[in-house]
Amino acid sequence: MPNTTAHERSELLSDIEDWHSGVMSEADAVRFKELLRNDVHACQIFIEYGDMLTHLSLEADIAAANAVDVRIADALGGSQTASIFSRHRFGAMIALTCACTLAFGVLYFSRKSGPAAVAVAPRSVVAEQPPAAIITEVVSRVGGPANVLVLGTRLQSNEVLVLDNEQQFVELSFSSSAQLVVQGPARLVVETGNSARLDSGRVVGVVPPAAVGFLLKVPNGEVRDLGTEFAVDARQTETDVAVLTGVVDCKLQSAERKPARATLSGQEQLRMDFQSAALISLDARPESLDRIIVFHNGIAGISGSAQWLQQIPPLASEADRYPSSLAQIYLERQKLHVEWNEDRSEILLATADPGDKSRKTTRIRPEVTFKSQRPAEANAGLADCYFIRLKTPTKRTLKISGSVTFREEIIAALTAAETLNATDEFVSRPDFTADWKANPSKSRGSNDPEDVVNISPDGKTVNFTLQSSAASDELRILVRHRDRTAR
Amino acid sequence: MQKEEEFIRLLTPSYRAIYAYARTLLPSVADAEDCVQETSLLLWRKFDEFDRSGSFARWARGFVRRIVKNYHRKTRPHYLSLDDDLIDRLMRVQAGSQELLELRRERLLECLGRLSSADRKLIGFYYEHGESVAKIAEQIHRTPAAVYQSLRRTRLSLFRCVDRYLKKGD
Repeated sequence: MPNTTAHERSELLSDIEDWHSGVMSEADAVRFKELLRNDVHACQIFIEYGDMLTHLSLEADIAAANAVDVRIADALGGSQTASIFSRHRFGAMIALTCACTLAFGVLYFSRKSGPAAVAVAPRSVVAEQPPAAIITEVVSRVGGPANVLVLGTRLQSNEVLVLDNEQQFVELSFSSSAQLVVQGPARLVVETGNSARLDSGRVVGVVPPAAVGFLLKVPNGEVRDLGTEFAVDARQTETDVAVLTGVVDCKLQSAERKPARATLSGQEQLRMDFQSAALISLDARPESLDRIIVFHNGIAGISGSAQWLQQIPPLASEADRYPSSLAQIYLERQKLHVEWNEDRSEILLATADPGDKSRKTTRIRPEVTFKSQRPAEANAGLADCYFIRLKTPTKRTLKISGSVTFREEIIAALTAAETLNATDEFVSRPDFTADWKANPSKSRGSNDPEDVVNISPDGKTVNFTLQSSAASDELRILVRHRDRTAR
Repeated sequence: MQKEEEFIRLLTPSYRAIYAYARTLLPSVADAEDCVQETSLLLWRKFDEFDRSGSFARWARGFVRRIVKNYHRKTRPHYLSLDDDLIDRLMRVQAGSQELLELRRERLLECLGRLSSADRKLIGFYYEHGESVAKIAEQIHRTPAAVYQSLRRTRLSLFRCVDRYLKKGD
């Protein structure tokens, strides 16, 4: 508005402010919109003002504007700090959509029939309203205290989740569709449908595209997820952050200086050190996160002589490499299509649907015959494939035993020699393969009469005893696919 | 997972622009957030239709424009709503102002630093921590109306301060 007076400009600004505040009278609104239609400079100022509001809402480091007085929350005192953090700036991803709500509801009802009650946490009675998050999985290998949360519990904003010990895991599905797995001991406050505050403990977050912007506050800092899988271990004086895939933004508040910020991408990790107010890059992922990451990979528990490997070890062609006195467990592939072909006595594992050009298949022909009484379409399903492998040093006989409990139900356990080209026996859940009832649920393994494998009655634990000498024993475990990103 | 990663990779740099469109053309933060959420979901649902040889930002802009227009049609009191033509006009101005807007954002931080401690705290409560006017009023022992007026005055003051930095205002 080059020709306007200061007064006119001031009036225009006042109108824009009133419009944004929704307090404009009808007559003023008509005049204001007419001005915008006819004066491009008025439009320009309108845009500039809106952009300033965007910047204030989204990016401006207001606290950092003055190095002496940066902690806005400090003005409220410690006891009130929690309430002042009840919302977050990127609330843009908070709102429920119909699709999310629907998916959420389906998830709630479909998973409600899982393992009954477990773990922890005092909880207040709240009015029935759309929950900020729902507990979608509870795993506890120890007895819980009197106050218990059960699967399907609906958590409203500002409800607190407290887990007592490290054997307890709780998965929360937020209304935004973000997920958090929490490992005890931990204290977590569900703040909104797309944010939480971790006072202490370990979490793994999975943030699908619809929930980009998920905010996890930690003591004196925050982690904002930009669509990824990440792990956090929050302690009193420091917090470790590790990105599994994707990108997160980390921000560390300081009372004396400008907040420290860093962007982490896949396989990077850092420590937020509160005392030095520094973000310290870490070369390796903190060991304290190992257990929860194993859980994140679908394993609820491991016992006996077994260890989880994050990386897939070399195949049997490199037989002498990486021998171990422990059975090594690893996730080989996710989301395999499983098809049972009774005519050919064959199990087909495919990476995609028929017709998809990227489809790759693995055929497994057990030496036992099987006959499925299930309709063909019911035989197909999605599975995640795990290997349990024992590789012994040359000329040394080793016998080990252990068990692995999965978060999802086991479809089949296939015993085999080496690379599984000659699978000869398997055990499976009777309800997946009707004819398996004729087979013993306890099966000898392939390489040695001492090898024994069986599946627990609840279908989630495989128990094994493996004996090997100068060779590899392998178990392929097919587990019902766990969709980690689209719940 | 590949599809999701690709989507996130494309959405992340466009996120601010989407938010800015919504925040500029819708009066309240909550309305803008709803709009951005709706846009993100729609982009994800339609992602298979996105022409990978084209600009994601431009593709996204089409969606947010449509959603903002729908929002004005359906949810605003009529006299405050913006009609389609006016929204198109404002968006064209916005598209042509990016360099200037960038300059203004740089100056805004300096202007924030020049605010009084009380005003900066107020802006911090409201924007950085997303607190409601009512709750801020409760915390600082003032009336909501007084807080509202202070916010209004401070925003206008910030805008004029940026103007002065750029030597274009009064």
